[in-house]
Amino acid sequence: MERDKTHMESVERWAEFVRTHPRSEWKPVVNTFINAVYEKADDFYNRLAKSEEGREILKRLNEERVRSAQESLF
Amino acid sequence: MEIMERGVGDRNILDKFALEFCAIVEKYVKYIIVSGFVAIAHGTRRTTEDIDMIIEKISFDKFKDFHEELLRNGFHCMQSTQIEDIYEYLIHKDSVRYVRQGSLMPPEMEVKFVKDEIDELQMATRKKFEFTGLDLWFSSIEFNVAFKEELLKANKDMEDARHLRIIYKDKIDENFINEIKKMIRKLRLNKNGKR
Repeated sequence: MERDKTHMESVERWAEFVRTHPRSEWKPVVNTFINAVYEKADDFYNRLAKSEEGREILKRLNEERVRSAQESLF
Repeated sequence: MEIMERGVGDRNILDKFALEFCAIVEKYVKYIIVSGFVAIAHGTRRTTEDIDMIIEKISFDKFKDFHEELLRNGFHCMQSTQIEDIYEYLIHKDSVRYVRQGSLMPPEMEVKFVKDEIDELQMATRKKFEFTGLDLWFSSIEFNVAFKEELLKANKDMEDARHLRIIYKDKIDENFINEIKKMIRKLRLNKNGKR
């Protein structure tokens, strides 16, 4: 999706908030937000593991991770 | 169906925000979730500061009802408190951003109107994805892959596209992706292939 002017406004608004507020105020919110992404990923992989089709997808994703890790070595 | 397995109450903040927002949107207008959140909903471990949503064009009166229900349910538009101003943004193909009232922090919902025939086709071919566990409408995997590979092209986008291709390896319609890419080149890129 293309970024329009409100995206940059949003980035600037957030940066200004971080600049003008103590770390103790914004860090817990950022942590909760980032944790949510990781929780979502865990939920997704747990959901895949429950079905045959999902386990096949997990196998492909694991193979890709191995392939990608091997490529990064060379 | 697996999608309905959990209520909103026991969700993480990102899912809760998306589900509550979309439940209101759905009453007024057809919508799709696109871009980064599609990948995150499919297990990519990366962040995005916003959830991108495209909605059908609606009249000012309908938008007013829709916006007022969002306000009554604890959402706030970052661009303005004036409905007329917010509608102007949308009409001029800009997005508007909603957050929880009293918050400047993520998550936020970036909302924009359908702007061309690509968006119309995205809307017409929208999908729900059981493995996401979310009862939400998303743009199709083919659209997400095409946009990421042909238009966006940042490393994170190419990784997202690769991830989605692996998940939907046996279901993805390569011809459809190529058709979408053609439309992107025609409608969203200039002669030099730039946005």
